[in-house]
Amino acid sequence: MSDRFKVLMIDDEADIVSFFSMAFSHFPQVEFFSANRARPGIEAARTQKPRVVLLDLKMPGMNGEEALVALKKDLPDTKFVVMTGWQDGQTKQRIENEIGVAAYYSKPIDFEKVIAKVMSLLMVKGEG
Amino acid sequence: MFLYHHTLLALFITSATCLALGVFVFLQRIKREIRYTFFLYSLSLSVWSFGEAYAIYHDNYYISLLAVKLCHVGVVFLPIFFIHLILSILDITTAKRWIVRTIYPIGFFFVCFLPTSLLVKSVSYYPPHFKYIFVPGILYIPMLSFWACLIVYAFVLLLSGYRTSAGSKKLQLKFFFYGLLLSYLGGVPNFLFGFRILVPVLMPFGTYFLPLYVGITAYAIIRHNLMDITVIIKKTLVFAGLLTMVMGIVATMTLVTQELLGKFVRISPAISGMLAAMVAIVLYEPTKALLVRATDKYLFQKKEDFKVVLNRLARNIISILDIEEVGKTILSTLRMALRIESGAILIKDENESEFKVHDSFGIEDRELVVHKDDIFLKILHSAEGIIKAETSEEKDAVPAGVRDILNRLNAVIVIPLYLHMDLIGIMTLGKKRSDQEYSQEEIDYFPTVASQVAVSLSNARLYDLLKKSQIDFAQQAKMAAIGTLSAGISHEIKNPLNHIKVGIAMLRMNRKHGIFEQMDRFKMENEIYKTLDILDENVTRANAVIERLSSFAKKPKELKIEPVDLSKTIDMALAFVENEFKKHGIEVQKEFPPDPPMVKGDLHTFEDVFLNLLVNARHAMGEHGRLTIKGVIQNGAYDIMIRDTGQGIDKDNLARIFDPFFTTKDVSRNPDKEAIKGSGLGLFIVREFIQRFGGQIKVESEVGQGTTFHVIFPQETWVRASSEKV
Repeated sequence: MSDRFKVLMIDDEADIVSFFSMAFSHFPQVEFFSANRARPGIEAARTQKPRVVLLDLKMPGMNGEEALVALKKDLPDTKFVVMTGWQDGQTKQRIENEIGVAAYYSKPIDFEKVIAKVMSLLMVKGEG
Repeated sequence: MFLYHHTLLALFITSATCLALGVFVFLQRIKREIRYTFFLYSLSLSVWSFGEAYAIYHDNYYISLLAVKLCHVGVVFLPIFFIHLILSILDITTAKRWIVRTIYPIGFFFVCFLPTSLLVKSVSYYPPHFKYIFVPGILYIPMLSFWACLIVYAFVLLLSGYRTSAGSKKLQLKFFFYGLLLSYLGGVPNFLFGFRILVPVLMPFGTYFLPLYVGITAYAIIRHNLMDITVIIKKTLVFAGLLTMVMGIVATMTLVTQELLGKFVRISPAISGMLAAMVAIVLYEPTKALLVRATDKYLFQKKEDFKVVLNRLARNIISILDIEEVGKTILSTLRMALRIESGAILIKDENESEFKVHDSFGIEDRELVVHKDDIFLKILHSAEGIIKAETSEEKDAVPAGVRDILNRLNAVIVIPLYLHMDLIGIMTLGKKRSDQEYSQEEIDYFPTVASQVAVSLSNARLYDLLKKSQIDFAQQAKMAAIGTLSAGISHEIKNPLNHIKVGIAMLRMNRKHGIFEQMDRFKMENEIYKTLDILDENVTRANAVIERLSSFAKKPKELKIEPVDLSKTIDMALAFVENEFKKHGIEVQKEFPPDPPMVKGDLHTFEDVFLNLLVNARHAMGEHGRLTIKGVIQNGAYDIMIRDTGQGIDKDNLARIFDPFFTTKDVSRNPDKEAIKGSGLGLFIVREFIQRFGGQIKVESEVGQGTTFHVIFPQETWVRASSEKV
């Protein structure tokens, strides 16, 4: 099943990761894997080259924004979906306009919408 | 010759000192009439003594006669100026007019006879005592009778004035009376001598009473504001003393050289005068220094003391926090420094509506209450400074309502105590035990004392309130602390709520898209139960945070003394700040012995203590750092160390950090946390709380390295978990 779409989630909240994992398990064409810190997340992304990366900005150690900048350079074809609890207009603007991401969600997130977005990103890529 | 020398010396000194004193008084800004009459009186004394001295001294008959006639101009006018002076000093205006109008013409009448031989007939050679002495004429007895009448009348006036006066005025007149009495006692024998009556002892020594009178008068002026002369110019006094000395030396030298050396060598008066002048020049500087030292020591000493004592008071009361103690210290110091009979401190009550006597001594009415709308306070406000009601004129000037309060407080001085333009209290001072009036110097000093007293009273009152409602205060500090931590707290609650929402959304999605229908039953149940477990965990998590917060914020009605595990207490406090520390990249390390002692105390109080210390550590560190919390048992005590790697505290501040109202926290730098900043009460409360349960707090710090607080509980505060509750 090497042609499955790889989805990487980088988030330190284990519960959230569990829910996403469960949800994606119902999509046979998706291969979901996760990392709870930025650094192992970058390592996994570099080797696995996922289609989509789900990224939490607030994490201990290296934060999500730094990881995003690093990954965008290494993986030009990957789509990034950012989720954050910080209601910070500046951060949102910087990430959407300067760095550029496929989607930016603030907590509390609409789970279904995020899943739909990820699926649509995978499909677009797959068809194109 | 003995009589001659002493009489001569005494007369010369009298002449010089009288003139100096007269000029001095004349230069003062006092009532014009007193100024003039005192000067003229002094001048007449000076003229008399100089004339008489010159007359008995000179060899030449005609010069001696001329001196005697000049001397009698002074003699004739002496009682006239005297009576005029007494009348103006006693402020007698009604009777004065006709007396003054009558006696001056009589004086001129007698003076008119001086060129003739009717008043002073001649001078006659009178060895061995004097060279020449006056011979009275026919009019001399009537003149002397008139003279005596006036003098007696003046003394009667002075005595009755003394009896009816009160306070400092009475004291002034007492000095003046005895001084004058002495001067006449000493002066009169000089006249009797003209009739060849020699009063033993008083002649010649009585003449020295005259300069003594000058001394007494000068003293009364300096110490008791005689003639309302309040400003004493030190230099003038020194100068007067100097002049006396120079004159004295010139006179003595002239006499001694002529007397002693004249036996062997003939020395002309010119040479002896020059010799005397040389001695005077040589002695001038050391004498001046001596005089300055002496006047500083004896005349100005008490005033220096007063300043020293009040300066010490100002320094001491700042550190006293018990309001009763502050009041007592202030009053006892003022009592001692100023030697006053009474004093009181009134403080504005909590409702800001009345001023009540807080502490006092020697006052009539300790229960006195001054309402805030009282005329007394209005007058005090409009006075823009102190109210002084020492003299009867000053007392008459204040309204009756104010006078009543002054009487009930036995006060002559009222000093308002302002703190930032707000009248927080009133200090009143009674009259001095010596009946002395307050000097201008003292009065000028009161505003300085007042401002320090106001600050101390205010601090002590705040402290008092704080003691009474320490729990309230701690509560406020705690709520403020929670406020500063609210970002972390909301995150702690929002996170689990978000997880719950996501979990539910996931289950809904499965149902909506028919995913459950495609799954086998086992897998479906597995997924649902796993989700429910996660949801349950998150509900528990959110609940725990809320529980913690509400138990923490709950106002404890009273202390509950029980064995407390401080390690667990610290965990609870830490739970609040953990997120803050995490957010700012601060690593927290906690290390406690496996079975730490239980300390007897109140759980909530200990929570406050450690939260306060943790919040302080957090603020000291800024971004990144390490917080180490370590419990150790050493030297029979349980020592809990809280060490941060923050900016540290310098030595000066370190000694004061537990003082109430002391703060180094810059509000401007932490605008979002100002609620807890700047109150300066955090560590003060912490120490109070720790001490309440028998513990102590110590601090060590190094600038740039960090600060370590030690919260130490000695063995006697421990309770073994197994033992009975205490």
